[in-house]
Amino acid sequence: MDQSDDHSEEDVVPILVVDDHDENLLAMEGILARPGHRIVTARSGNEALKHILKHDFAVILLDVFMPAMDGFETAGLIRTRDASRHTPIIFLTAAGADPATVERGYAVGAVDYLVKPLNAEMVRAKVGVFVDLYRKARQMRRQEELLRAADRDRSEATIREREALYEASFNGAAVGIAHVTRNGEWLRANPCFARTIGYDPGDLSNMRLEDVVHPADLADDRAGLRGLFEGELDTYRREERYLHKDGHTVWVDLTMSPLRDASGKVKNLILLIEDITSRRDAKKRERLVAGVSQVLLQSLEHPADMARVAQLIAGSLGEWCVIGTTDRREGPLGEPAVAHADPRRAAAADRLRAALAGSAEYAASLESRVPLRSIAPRGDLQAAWNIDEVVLDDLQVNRALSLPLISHDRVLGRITFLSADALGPGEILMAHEVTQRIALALDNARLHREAEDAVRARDEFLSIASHELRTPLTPLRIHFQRMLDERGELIAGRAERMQPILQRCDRQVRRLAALVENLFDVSRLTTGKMNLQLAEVDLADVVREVVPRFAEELAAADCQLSLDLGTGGALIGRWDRMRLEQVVTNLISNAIKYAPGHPVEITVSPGWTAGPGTERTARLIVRDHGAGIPPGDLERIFQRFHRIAPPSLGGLGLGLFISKQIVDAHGGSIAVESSAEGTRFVLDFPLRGAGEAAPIPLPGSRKFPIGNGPGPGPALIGWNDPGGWS
Amino acid sequence: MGVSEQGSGGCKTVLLAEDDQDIRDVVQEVLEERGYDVIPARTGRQALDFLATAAVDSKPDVVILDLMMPIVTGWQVLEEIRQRPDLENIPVIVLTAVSQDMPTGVTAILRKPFNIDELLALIRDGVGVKPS
Repeated sequence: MDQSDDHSEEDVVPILVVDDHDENLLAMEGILARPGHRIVTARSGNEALKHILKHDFAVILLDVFMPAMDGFETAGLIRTRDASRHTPIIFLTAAGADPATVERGYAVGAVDYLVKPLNAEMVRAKVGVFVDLYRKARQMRRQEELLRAADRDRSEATIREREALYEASFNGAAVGIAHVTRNGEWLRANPCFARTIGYDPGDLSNMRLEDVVHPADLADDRAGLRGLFEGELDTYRREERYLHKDGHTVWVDLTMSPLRDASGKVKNLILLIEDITSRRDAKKRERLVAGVSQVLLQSLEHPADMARVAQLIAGSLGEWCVIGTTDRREGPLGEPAVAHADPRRAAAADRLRAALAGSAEYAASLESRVPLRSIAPRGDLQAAWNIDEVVLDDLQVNRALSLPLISHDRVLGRITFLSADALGPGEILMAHEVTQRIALALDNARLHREAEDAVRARDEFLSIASHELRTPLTPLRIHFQRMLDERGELIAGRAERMQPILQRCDRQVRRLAALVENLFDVSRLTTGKMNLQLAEVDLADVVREVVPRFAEELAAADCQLSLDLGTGGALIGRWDRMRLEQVVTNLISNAIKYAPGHPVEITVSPGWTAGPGTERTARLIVRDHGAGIPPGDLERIFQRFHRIAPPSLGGLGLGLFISKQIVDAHGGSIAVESSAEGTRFVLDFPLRGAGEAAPIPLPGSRKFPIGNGPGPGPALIGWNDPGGWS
Repeated sequence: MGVSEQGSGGCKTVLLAEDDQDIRDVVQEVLEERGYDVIPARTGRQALDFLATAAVDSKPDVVILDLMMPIVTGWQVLEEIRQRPDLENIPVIVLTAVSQDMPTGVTAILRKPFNIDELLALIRDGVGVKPS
């Protein structure tokens, strides 16, 4: 034993000595007293038991013979207590004790005997063994406690770590995780879950399953939830629709699993969702674009093709698709293509189609470049379309997306997507892509058509040009033949007969030359090589010079021509006189050709350019009273090779094209108005550039032009005697 | 160009429908030099008017018909001739400057610019076969 050690209270070893004689107690104290020992004395069994109730002892030295309660009885009672059941007891007995006594002592739990008179060394040795044991036991117990405490600390840390790990996973997971009660109330949701459907994680706590699950999928989810709680299902997994906060559909891959308590009972459910919208969109986009492209690549010649495109789109983006084009090949406006995803709604689609076909507002909307995205389509569509409200209500839509079909900066029409649910971002991108493809296809179809038209026009032109060139060649050949006899030799010596023939040959050659000149003009104009010989020219003067050349033609066509050369000043500009003559000639020639037997009126007056920055012009109006130009041909008459006349009327169909090019080159304008009462060409040549030579005319202030041009004869005004120039 | 004159049997009448004045004039001149009576028509309408009003004995012996004429085309004249039993045996010589869509059942088709001797020969033959 370490007697020199400093013993703290905890290291003190308590020893109980029980004896009814004070001197014995003192003697024992003397023997056992040493540092590290605490000697507790008791004078009776009862007193001993009181100590034992309060303290734990390393060893009890118990006198066998005591009044009232002897040692054996006391030992028996000590052993009945749990805490002291195993405390070693050494009996103290007088010398010469009979063996029965010793046996009895062992029976009640003695571990040893000490015989009085006591040998101090013996006492110390025997007690020392138990003190030592006690110390070791106590040390072991302490170490055990320390170990247990360390263990406890470790497992608490593990639990904390696990919780932290779960929180981190829960909050940082790339899949949505949420806990739901049996009633479909949200207990908690991780940020990803909330984000997937557009909410903050806290928003969901006041909500229920039906607030975020698409109504079409709700019944199945409820059944799944019940199955999991009833233990019929271990897990529930499907692809289904959730509703985003802003109303569009989010497709998720959903897994629901039960969370159980310690007893194995299902407490609530854990939901995992993965947003698969973009994956589904990609597949859908692939299918849609492939399907639409297939139709578009084949042809867009027939309205039924567009209807097929609309049907494909209606099946993929929203429920309704409406496509209208500005193509006016078949009347003022074709019916739009209208389709609904569900074939059972065909009658509603027919009604919408008919309503739109009759709406001027819808027709006007097709020209607009403005996209429309509406969350209140009822009012917006009513404003844009102005159709029967019953038809509109029947659509049952809550969202509209309407995009212009634009290609090469031309508005070719409009496509409208209508849906009950909002389109998701991926679907909106898809809508834009499909729109672009349709616009491109429409543009291609238009270019293709124009190319075909151009080829047809060219072929027609070549045929007409061939006809026109053969016509003067015919008399030319006959005249040449008349100069030869039947042997093919020149009929000589009859000059008086040859001369008129040669003159007539010359006339045909000039006709041919004029035709060739026209062809050459077209080639020059097309390549932009027209050079204007600008000089000061009086427009009225040009008209006065050209008109008499038509005397013969006017008479032959039974046309009367009246001239009004204005009451203002001379209209002088810097123009190309020969080119202006060519224009006037073309217009008069056309008026006679297309309106034989009807009067032709020519007016020259001051005019103004249209639009902002108005400028003064010299205006020429040529009006006939023929049958007019069909409306469909009006915009094409200034195009190359576009003749509106039957081939029998002759001409290359180049006159108006060349005239427009000349007017344009002068910075002027040419416009046409036509009705069943006749046709009016209005030409404006800008006066700018004419300098001071062009007096600003004051309307009505002068009766006749004053200038250095040839003086106008009053007879020209209201002139109607073409025969006078023959 | 031949100088042979028309066969016996008096003056034969040729209806010449051609809208181009220069062609009409020179063909009329050449035919008249050969002794034919020429009735010129500037349009299909004029040709039809003549055919409608001509007495039985002043019907033309030959029709020379340009196809491309204003107002009433050569095609329409041809159709009218075919519908008239009294005209069905009249030889018709078609003049044309185009090469597509040729009429059938006519005596001959001449493409412009045609050989005047060929036209004269066709008229002569036409007049020859025609019962007078």
